[in-house]
Amino acid sequence: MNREVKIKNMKLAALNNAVYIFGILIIAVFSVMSPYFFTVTNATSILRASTLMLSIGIGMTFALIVGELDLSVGANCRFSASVCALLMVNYKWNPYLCMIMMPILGGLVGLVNGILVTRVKLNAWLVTLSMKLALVGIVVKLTNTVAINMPQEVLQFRNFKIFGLSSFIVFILVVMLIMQFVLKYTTFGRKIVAVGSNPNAASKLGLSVKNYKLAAFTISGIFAGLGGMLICINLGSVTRELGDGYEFTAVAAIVLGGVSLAGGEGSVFPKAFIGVLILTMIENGLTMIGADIYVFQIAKALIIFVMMYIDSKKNKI
Amino acid sequence: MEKRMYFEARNLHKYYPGVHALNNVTIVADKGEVLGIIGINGAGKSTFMNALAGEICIDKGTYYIDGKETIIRNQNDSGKCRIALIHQEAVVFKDMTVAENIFIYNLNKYTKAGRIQYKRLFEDASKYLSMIGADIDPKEIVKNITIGEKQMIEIARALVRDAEIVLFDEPTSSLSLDEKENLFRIIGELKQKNKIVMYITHFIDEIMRICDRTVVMRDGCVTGEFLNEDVTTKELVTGIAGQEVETIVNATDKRDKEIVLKVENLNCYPVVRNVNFAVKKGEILGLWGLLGSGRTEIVRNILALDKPDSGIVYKRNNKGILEKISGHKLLEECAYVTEDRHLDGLFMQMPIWKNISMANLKKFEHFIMDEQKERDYALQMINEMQIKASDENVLVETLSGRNQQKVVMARSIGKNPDIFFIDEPTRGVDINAKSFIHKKIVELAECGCAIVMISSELEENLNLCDRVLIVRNGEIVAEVAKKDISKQKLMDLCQGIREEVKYE
Amino acid sequence: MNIKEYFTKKEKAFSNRKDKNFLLTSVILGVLFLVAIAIAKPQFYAFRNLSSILIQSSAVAIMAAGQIYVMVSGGIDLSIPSVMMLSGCIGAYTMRETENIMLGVLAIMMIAILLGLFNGFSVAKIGINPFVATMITMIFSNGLSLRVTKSTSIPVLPKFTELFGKYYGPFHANIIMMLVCLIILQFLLTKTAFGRSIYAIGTNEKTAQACGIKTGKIKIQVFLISGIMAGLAAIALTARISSSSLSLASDGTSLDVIAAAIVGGASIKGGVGTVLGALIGAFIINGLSNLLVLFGIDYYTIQIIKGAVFIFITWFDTIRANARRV
Repeated sequence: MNREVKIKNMKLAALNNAVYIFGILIIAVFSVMSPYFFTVTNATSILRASTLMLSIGIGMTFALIVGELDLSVGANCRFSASVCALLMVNYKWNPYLCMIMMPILGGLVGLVNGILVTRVKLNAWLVTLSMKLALVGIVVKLTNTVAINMPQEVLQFRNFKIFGLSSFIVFILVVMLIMQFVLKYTTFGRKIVAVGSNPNAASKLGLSVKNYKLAAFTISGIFAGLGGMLICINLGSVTRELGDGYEFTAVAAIVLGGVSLAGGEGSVFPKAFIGVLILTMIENGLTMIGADIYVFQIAKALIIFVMMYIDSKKNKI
Repeated sequence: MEKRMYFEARNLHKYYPGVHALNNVTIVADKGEVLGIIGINGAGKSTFMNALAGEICIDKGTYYIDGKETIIRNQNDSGKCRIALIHQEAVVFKDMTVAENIFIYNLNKYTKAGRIQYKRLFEDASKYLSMIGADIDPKEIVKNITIGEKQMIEIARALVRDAEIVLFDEPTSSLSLDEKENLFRIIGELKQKNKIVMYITHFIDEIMRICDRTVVMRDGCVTGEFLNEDVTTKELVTGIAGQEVETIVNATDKRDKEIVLKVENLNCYPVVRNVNFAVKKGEILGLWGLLGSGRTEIVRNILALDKPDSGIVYKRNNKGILEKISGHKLLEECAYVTEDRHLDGLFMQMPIWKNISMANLKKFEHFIMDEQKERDYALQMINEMQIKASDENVLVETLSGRNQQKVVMARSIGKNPDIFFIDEPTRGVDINAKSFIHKKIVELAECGCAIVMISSELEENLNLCDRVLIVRNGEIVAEVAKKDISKQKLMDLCQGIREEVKYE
Repeated sequence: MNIKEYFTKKEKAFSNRKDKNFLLTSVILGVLFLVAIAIAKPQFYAFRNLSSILIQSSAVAIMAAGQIYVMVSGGIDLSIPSVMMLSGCIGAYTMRETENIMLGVLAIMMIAILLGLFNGFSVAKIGINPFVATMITMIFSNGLSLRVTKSTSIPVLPKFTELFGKYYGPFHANIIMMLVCLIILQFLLTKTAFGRSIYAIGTNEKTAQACGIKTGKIKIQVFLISGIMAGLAAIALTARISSSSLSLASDGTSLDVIAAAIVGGASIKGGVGTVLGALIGAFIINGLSNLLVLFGIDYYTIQIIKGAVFIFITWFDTIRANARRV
């Protein structure tokens, strides 16, 4: 490796680690603006609030790494959660069964997305946007936008605590580490990275690009459903706000953390995790200082734009 | 009854729209043999190797391995036949480590309870890498290594898969001297181990050095076969570039004409280095060099299609003075025919008349486009260029190769340019159309147009050019005047010792 | 002789088309569908109903015209309805604060143009993928609209509605605006060198560059046009419904606009499409919604059907593109 490449690598490393500096900056700014921000209670609160986005983020990381994008995750989350919640509450199905069904249902939706993109060869953006529309419609028809409250069997998970944290928080953190393990230490994970890194090379070497993309869409769906399950435990109900705009927040979060929209590059831990954490901190901080909701929306757009801009400069280094 | 070779490919045919890429190709090779495949771009060499490797599927023909008829339709089949292809452009995953790239087929062998044992992976990768003399850190991320090192990954991959037949597609274009020597050593070892090596190149010195036999391809056909010990360089060159046909000769003396284009200090590291030259009115200047020497890049930099690091271009303006001109403006005023009409030369789904006027929209625009004028002009061009099409509405993608190339030429000629940049004017075009196009080029020159022509065909340079600039590694290393141009001289000049070059 | 020659030429051009089987099948199926409607719900064809569909689809048609420009050049613009909503809201806000229609119109157009230029620069200069770049604008516009409207609706000045949202004789102002836009845009696209360049870029960007076409500049202009169309659609729509709010553009509207463009002839792959097609596409999309309402189907079920239909339309685009290939 010659000197030029070494310098190039240093510059890239600096850019990649800039997100940590940004995170520290955010903490600093909000700590100054509000005395309640930099407290243990708030930290726990942030961690708790980030669980949903973390779950969606894990799924979306797999999708992005393989080179695709799933914009239906928010609607999928709401759909899976709502359907299973209805079965639980209105039809008195076994609550534990229904909770497990949430990620499964989400996975089925993801599978449908995947088939439309990889087999029927439709554009992923358009397919997942349509799916979003259809899913929201189905949910509203089924629930009449009435919030569904969780029964005790679900709520009790909130009270199980491990290391002082609620069980569902520990759960998603463990799952996150497992998924990072899958990405880095299993053949399946490595092939997903390969396909996303260079789909042409992958098909030249005989790797089935179609199948790995299909798997990624399914995973994205499973984690959208899982997110729904976490929200049921965390908030105790499925409301009409669930899922609205989550896909964009997730994209902003993991792109901020360093997962590349172009594919092949990124990780569940630490990259997606950091991005989700920082974005949750921003949302938390903004609420704390009394800012309107729209500020967060604009922040999302700005973050994605800045990261894309940096990306384009990266290519020119 | 001829002796059966270990590997035989008989009567292969492959068709692409408008192109007969493999035309009754029969190539055989035996164990312990290094077979060279030589020919200019578009001859079908890569198509042949891609078929063997299962990346494309032939339409007709049969393969025989060890006497048995074999079907190779995809990478699984070729893998079972122990065939490995080292691609022209290394097939690697830039975001993963060297070791992962090498073992991408066999990652399962390194997993224990589902978990990849990276320690073992890196160790084994080191082993294979040192076997082939590559000093690369297996933990390194591939996007940080050189092109030569990326190629080593592919070779290591072939060894890991214990390939019996190893195919090399133009492996040396981007290698340094040391890397080349290492490659030849590896090939020598493969030969000793009784493997079959097939080696595509158009560097004759390499063929003479490492190959036992050579097959010459041209326009999808096998046009010759030689035992290397029997053949001379001259015969090989003729086999590749064709007969020394005495066709159109550009006769007039251009020494007293004025300069119309001057290029100064053109630089775009590392593909273009310090290029300086000038072209006179009515002159045909050839840029000669081998694949990867940077000729196309030089022209693209002059026209600002690729952004140069530095350099000034001057063009003679109406008052007769050499004036500085930007690449964009030059592109507007001059004509440019690209190397690959399929890639960036034509609008395939558009009719002939739209293609012809696209480089010259201003000519037909008086606030709105004068469609009738465009069509009339197109018909005129169809006539003049003898394009075989029923009318101007015919979609360009349905035309044959030679007619497509004529459409591209017509588009440029229609600009009545002072300067004409042509990149491979007769690529993928048959003999008759070739001499027609040559005639047109000479006509243009006689009318005073200065022509900068990139061509890999010796005869084009020999017959048409007033001067030839030899390009090597992005630099102009020599200039040869018409009276001194000869085949031998051109081949000698571009095969000189190459300096060490490492670039991404 | 002239008319006969014209038709013979058109017939010959048609029979030369590779995708004529596809075209014929589509037309036949379309006609069958229309006949089925006539039998099942004849009230659909009532003049009042049809003209109401036309008026309602004018805003979408204007936006679809802009979308077609972007799609012909090989890109896509997901932000058009959001930009329309934002500029409409800011326009209404300005009018309410300043009591001045001119300023309101100015505000609408300025916002629309600015965002269009932003899209253009993101795609052409920074090199961001058009899906991502316009998605950014979409999120931003939706967020800012939230701020401007504070989740309520802002009424527009009555004079504004009179100018742009009422009837002039038998013609509704929206339809006049739509026709004027479409005619000008169609003209630009099919008759000028600029339009020809756009088709070239969408067909093969590299070849267009080699021909000396300034692809970067043209791409920016194309996004500028789609921005302007978003602004004009804002004027038409807010004038007609006399207010602006967050309901101006929903998730479905973005897909409606793209669907209208595709049905009207454009393709994700680029290089094809006409502006008049946008009108037809918008009419068909709106007509479908109207038809479903006649069948008594509620809003959310229509959304579900629209989602499915859009997937079908994307698939239709793929098949049509394949039919066009050799």
